[in-house]
Parts: sequence; structure tokens; C-alpha cells
Amino acid sequence: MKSKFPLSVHLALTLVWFWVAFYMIFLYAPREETMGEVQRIFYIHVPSAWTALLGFIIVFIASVVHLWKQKPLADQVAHAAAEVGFIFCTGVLITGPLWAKPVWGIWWTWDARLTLTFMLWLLYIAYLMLRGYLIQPGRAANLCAVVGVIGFIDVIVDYMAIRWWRTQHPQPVILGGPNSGLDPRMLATLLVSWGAFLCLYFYLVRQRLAVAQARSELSEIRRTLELARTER
Amino acid sequence: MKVNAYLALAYSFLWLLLMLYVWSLSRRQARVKRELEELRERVARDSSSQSAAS
Amino acid sequence: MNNLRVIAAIFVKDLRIEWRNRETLSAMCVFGLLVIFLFNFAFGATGEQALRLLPAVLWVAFAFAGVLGFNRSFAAERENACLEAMMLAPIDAGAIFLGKMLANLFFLAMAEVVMVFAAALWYNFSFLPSLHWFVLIAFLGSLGFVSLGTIFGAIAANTRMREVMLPILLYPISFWILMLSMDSTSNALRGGGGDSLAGGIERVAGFSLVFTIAAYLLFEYVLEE
Repeated sequence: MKSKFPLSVHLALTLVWFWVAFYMIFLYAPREETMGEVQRIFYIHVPSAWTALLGFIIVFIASVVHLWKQKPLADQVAHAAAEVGFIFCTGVLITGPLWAKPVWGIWWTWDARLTLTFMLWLLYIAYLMLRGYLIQPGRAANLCAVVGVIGFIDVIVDYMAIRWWRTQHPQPVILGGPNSGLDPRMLATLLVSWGAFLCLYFYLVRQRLAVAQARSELSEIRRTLELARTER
Repeated sequence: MKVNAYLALAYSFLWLLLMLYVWSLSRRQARVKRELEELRERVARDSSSQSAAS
Repeated sequence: MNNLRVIAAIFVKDLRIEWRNRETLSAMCVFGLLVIFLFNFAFGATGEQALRLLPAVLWVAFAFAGVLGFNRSFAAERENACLEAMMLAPIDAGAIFLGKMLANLFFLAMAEVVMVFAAALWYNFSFLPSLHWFVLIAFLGSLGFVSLGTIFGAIAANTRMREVMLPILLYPISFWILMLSMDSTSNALRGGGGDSLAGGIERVAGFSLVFTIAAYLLFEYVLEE
């Protein structure tokens, strides 16, 4: 890739950042009074969730750019962002119940944030499955971009609807999470950890993009070879 | 289950998930690289056989 | 003016095809009836319980029956290369969308009438006291659901497993339209009125409108070759 920021440097930065983040998570951040050590799941759970959401925002932006400019790169970015975003979203759904069980006493509840994350996860699945099942690769980009745009509208709709739904349907008594009155050291740890997750996210997206670009180059070469053969 | 086991589980599951994805990515990269190699060989063979024929 | 004629032409064409073989509509009705029958038999509800179950059962049945119709809607166009012909014609993609959408909406509405009759019979429940509200909610909810179903049906027609792909795309994205419609239906059937019912209907209408406009604007990219 013709980038000023080589992948190897990006990887090194990610590793160092994660090293710092882990130091802060386990040694710098204070122990939470009521939840104890298990609260440290917070520092990987919340950044995963934010990153997963950001992933779909990138899918949306890349989809709009593709529909507007018809550039193959935008389509590849959307695909890569969705695939890596799906991995992070799955991570949220794995770490979430593991935190909820010892703290709330239940694995799952249809609380606002859980519902939103689950809807986002379903959206990612729908988007990626569509990518896998399309017949003509030439038409794939536009169709996926349309789903990317409508999917993002759905994310906004989810945010609005869940609030109305929640006010109508009382939820089991659950604290809103530890977000209120966060210790400054905890906040700093959270932000550093999120930085590490973002760095990892973009590293994986770039790697995924490299695969997509190599593939499209490969099919390009094949096409010209076929052309040369038939002309002969 | 002891409470700290949940902590360990959460971290290890997330790590496992990311490693699985990295593994699948590297496999895909290796396959593309291999295909490119094959293609290059075929082109080299084709051009050499053609020059021999003419 | 020209666009209105295109919309009407596509709408009438779909109705005429359906009138000749009556395949899609009968499949939708039978499938919807089966869903309602299964739920009714399994939970056997009457009285207060019927009120709790009925909105959910109805909207689940609508959603299932709808997917059958949307799948057929574009499968038929693809099999005979009609879509290609329509794209060659100098007409607006949005007009094609509206024509197909209105036809789908008409079929779903017909199936819904049959399903509601069956539900009223089996649950021993009278829709008459709140019929006007129910019809309004069913129309608004179905409008958004059908719009999404039409554009996703057109997208899924390009995939290898279109019968599977359509519900996977459609249900997560139409989730809130179905849920809020169900909620408002429950409100209306309970004889509730006033602010909470009006607010619920407004939300259904808002979401349906947003998705309908988005589908209308984006349809051009679905057809483009």
C-alpha cells in the first residue's frame, strides 16, 4: 500500500497501545467498590461497543460515497469496515453477559443498550450475508450500499424507538451502569483502552482492505490474460 | 463460579475471537498470494512457450 | 403526470398477473391462516388473554405472509427478464418502485382482511368497536413494512438464496415498525384512546414514512445495471 503510515508501524503502535491499556486496566484503575474486580470487563466491553457502532457509521459513509461517486474503493472500505465491526459487535455480546451475570444476577435482559447492540449485530449479519450471496459481483457494490444506507437509518430509528419502548414498558430494576459519577482514573483508563481498540480496528480494516485490493487486482490480471488469449 | 472467573472468561473470549479473525485474515491473504504466484508462473510459461514456437 | 401513468400501469399489470393465476395471494392467505391457527391452538386464548396475544399473533402473521408475497413480486420479474425491459424503458425508477409497492400493499391488505376475519372467529373477539383505529394502524404499519419488503425483495432477487435472504434483511430492519404497530394495535383493541394511542400511531406513521421515502430514493441504484 502506498501509505505514509506502513502497516508494520501501525501494528507496533497497536501492540504498544494495548500494553499501556492493559497496564492501566489492571494496575492503574482503582478497584470498583460494589462490583469488585469483575468491573474491569467494563474497559474492554464499552470500547468494543463504541467501536462496533463506529464501524456501522463508517459503513454508512462509505456506502453514501460509493452511491455518489461510484468508486470501487468506497465499496471495499464499506465491506472491510462491516466485517471488522461485526467481530467487535460479537465481542460486545460475549463480554456483556459475562459482566451482567455476576453483577445483575442475570445473563440477559432486553434493556435499551442490550437491545440496540443485538439489533446492530443482526444488521451486520444481514449486510455481510448479502455480500456473500450476491450472484453478479458487478452489481454487488450498489446493492450493498443501499442496504448500508437503509441499515444506518435503522440504527437511528433503533435509538429513538428504544427510548419510547422503554418508557412504556417498565424494565427489571437495573442500574444504568457505572457511567454516573465515574472516577477520573477510570475514565482515563476507559479512554486509553478505547484508543487501543480504535487502533486495532483500523489496523484490521486496513489488512482486510489489502486482501480485497489484492483480489480485485488478481481478477483484473486474469481478465486481461483471457483477453490476450482470445485475441491471439 | 467465582466472580473473577467471569473477568478471566470475558478477556479470554474476546482475545480468542480476535485471534480467530486474525487467523482467517492471514489465511485469506496467503491464498491470494498463492494465486498470484501461480498466475505469474503461468504467464512466464506461456510467454516462454510462445517464444519457442515463433 | 407521466409518472402517475407508469405507476398505475405497473400496479394494474401486477394485479392482472395475480388475477390470472392467483398464486401469490392464495399462498399468503393460507400461510397467514396457518400461523394464526397454530398460535390459537397452542395458547388457546379467550377473553383477557386474547387481548394480550392477538396483536402479536396478527403482526407475526402479517410479517410472515408479507415475505411470501415480496419474494414472488420480483422473482417473477426476473424469470421473464421483465425487469431489464422496464429498465430500458425511459421511466423513473421511483415510479417503478411505487407501482410495485402499491401492488404489494394491495396483496398484503387483502391477505390481512382474511387473517383478521379468521382471528376474530377463532379468538371470539370483535374488532368492530375500534375498527377505525385498527384499520389506520394496519395501513400505516403495512406501508412501511411493504416499502422495505419491496426494495429488499428487489435486492434479494439478485442473490443465490433469495427466499432466505429476504427475511434476514427485512425482519431486523422492519423490527420497530412491527413492534410499534403491535403496541398501538394492542392499545386500540383495548379501547384505549387519547394521547398514548395517538402518540403510538404517530410513531408508526413517522417510521413508515421515513423508510418509504428512503426506499423510493434509493430504488434507482437497485435497478441500475
